[in-house]
Amino acid sequence: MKNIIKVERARNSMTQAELAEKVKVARQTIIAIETGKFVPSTTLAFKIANVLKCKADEIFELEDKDWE
Amino acid sequence: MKTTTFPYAYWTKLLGLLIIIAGITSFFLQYQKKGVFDLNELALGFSWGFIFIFFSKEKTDDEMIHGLKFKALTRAVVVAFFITHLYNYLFLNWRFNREHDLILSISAYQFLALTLIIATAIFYYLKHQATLNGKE
Repeated sequence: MKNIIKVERARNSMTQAELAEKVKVARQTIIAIETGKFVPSTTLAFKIANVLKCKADEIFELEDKDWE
Repeated sequence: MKTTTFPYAYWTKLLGLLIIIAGITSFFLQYQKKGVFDLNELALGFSWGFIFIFFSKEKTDDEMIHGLKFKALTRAVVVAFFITHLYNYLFLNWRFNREHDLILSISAYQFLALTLIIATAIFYYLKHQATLNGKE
């Protein structure tokens, strides 16, 4: 699953640490999500979208390999 | 919703480390006193120590940490079981000349210690891999 957290974070002038603090996860988790190494739960995805003032499906997008 | 998967607080990692140090010290003291390498006693210290290290919360405990710990533990059980089985197969089944008369099977403490050491190593490796090339 790809995402545009990095872009939205930059738009909101927010660092990885600030976003992590707001959604109550470790900074490493935000890094892993941004690089596509970890897919967050629905709850965390909605929390991130909420903090970045977007809808979850605007930030996260399914890829072809997710259907395999 | 707050989930508390791991029972011990972050500071118990230090307690685990102290137990391991006590286990190693006791192991060498026993050797000095009796001249015997009691690997079971060493494994006892390691298993209790790593119970506290591996099953304690991280600084920030979240779903990725839970996932990585689960992944690390599942891999470690398989690897440790393979090593145990291989050891038993090589040293208990084969009838080659041995230096000592008696070779003991891997004990439960040794298996647990081995599993938790591998699990801890895999967990920190996976955590490192997850954050590679993504830092600002």
